[in-house]
Amino acid sequence: MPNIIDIFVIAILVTAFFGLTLGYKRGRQYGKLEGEIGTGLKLREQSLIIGRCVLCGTKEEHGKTQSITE
Amino acid sequence: MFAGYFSWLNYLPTVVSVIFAGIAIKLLDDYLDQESPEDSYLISLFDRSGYAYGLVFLLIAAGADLHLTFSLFAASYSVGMFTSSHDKLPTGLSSWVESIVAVIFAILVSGWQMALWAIVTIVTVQLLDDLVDYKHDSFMGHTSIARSLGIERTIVLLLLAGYISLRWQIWLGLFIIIISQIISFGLMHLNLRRNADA
Repeated sequence: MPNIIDIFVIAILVTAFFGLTLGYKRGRQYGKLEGEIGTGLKLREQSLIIGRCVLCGTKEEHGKTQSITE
Repeated sequence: MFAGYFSWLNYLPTVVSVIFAGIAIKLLDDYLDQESPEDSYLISLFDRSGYAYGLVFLLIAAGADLHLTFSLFAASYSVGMFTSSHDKLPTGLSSWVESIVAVIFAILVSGWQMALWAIVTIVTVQLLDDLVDYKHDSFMGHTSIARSLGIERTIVLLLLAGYISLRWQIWLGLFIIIISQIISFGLMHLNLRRNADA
């Protein structure tokens, strides 16, 4: 028969498991959100540095847009 | 006068059962995973006769201790099926249903206590193997419990299963865990040596 120490140890480990599961899910949600925001900002930064859109290659000069093929 | 000197013989059936069942389970696992002879020492050693030798080893184990062998084998089958990704098996049942059927058979043959203890012990062995193979599985893209849950949660589950198994039957549990690791590492070492010599 399990004694009080066994129940205590098992309770601690089960709590730790559920705590880690919850933390992992929350962390993943927040990480995904921050990743989405960060990605947008990173793309804009790189576009400004190279002077063209990093996705489609379009650049704007003197009020005119030029695609990468021109 | 000499009775005490031979009392260790009482443990011989259990030792034989655990060792031979362990090798049979490892052999079956390698064949089911379709390991190549380069990756599996047992497959390269036994080749096409591996299935027959696996049965022979299982029979020896069952002859030594039927209840223990049955519960260990059923637990290995159950845990293996539960964690596998098959939708439908040749029996027409899903893998999780076959797991439950294996557990029911183990309970009928060995009793619910031994069946449950065997499952907890085999889960401990499986989690330990998954943690040890984590890097290799990540590199090869294999799925495992450690890769699905993450290392931290796997360690907590390992501690939980290991604690329950060892509190229930400390020496037998410890023996099974040690033998399983000896079989795993021993075969891996033999395989590496054989590949190096080739």
